Amino acid sequence: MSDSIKNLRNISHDLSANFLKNKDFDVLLHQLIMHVFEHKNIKTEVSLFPKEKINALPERYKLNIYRILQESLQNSIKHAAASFVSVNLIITHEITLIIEDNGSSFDTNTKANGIGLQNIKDRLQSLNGTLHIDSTLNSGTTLNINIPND
Amino acid sequence: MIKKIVIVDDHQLFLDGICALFSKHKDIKVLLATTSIQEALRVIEAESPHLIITDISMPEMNGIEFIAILKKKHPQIKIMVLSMFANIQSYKAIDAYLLKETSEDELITAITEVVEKNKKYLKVTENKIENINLYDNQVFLTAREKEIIKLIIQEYNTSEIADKLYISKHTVMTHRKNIFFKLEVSNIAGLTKKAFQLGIVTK
Repeated sequence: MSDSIKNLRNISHDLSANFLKNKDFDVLLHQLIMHVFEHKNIKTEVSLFPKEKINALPERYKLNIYRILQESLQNSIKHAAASFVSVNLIITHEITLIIEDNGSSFDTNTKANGIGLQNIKDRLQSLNGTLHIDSTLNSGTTLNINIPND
Repeated sequence: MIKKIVIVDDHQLFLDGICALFSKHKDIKVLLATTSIQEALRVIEAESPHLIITDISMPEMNGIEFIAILKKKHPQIKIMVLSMFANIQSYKAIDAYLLKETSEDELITAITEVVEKNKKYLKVTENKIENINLYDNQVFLTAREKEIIKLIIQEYNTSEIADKLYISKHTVMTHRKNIFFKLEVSNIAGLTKKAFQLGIVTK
């Protein structure tokens, strides 16, 4: 567990603006997810659609979406003990990011979760985005994130 | 040996072209050339072809998922990917990889190698058009989206779907909007038709 958290930190240190410029964003997202779940017995699925629009997002959006995803995956691993995680990013006139896991529910009151969530909320605020959380005991958690795309 | 082939591609013009090409070869029998994964799966089930020719970059058909289904249900059937893109990452599930710009001779050679000699034929050119990355966890529709499509077709409303799946109505509505966007449909009739075509629901 602590290994993957260390991995996450390494990745985040690597993520300079250059990093964002040198690789397609969809590839970066796939790599992030791959690193986080490496050697973990957690099934994942990733849907990024449409790829061209995801890769054409302004850098400020890319960086924030990357960090938000990183933060929520960390939650799924650290606190929820999930065995399945789904990442769904769709760009229409708005940006929707849905992250689901089947772990234990997301306790928004614990301190660790609180900090992670606050980070996500701060990043969303800078993009006028919203966060909606569905969490039912033993039926996993859905993070439903919406960002205007203009 | 008569090689029985099923071809799945999202471009009718390509299907017509490749059928015309194969019609000159007496040892190749095209059982079906279709834009419908659903139809392809039915024919594959009924007539066990030797080879499936398909593409991986069909935006909404998701050739990758199609290949995964084939490998699981019919591991003996060979799979050839004919793609517009160069430099595919190694992908264990397929037996042959060729570019759509390939010559007829090479295509026929590849089919013989793969079907009759049990060999792999993976052609990667230096001539880089676009890198295409394949991850085996990559999907077009998520499991949740498919679940919701099925429920919408069974005429469950938003509240009922929310209750069934233990998610909020707000999230169901987000999924619904995304599903309609991904499948390029605007009503339930269109959604139902597309879902059958893609094999998400069966009769």
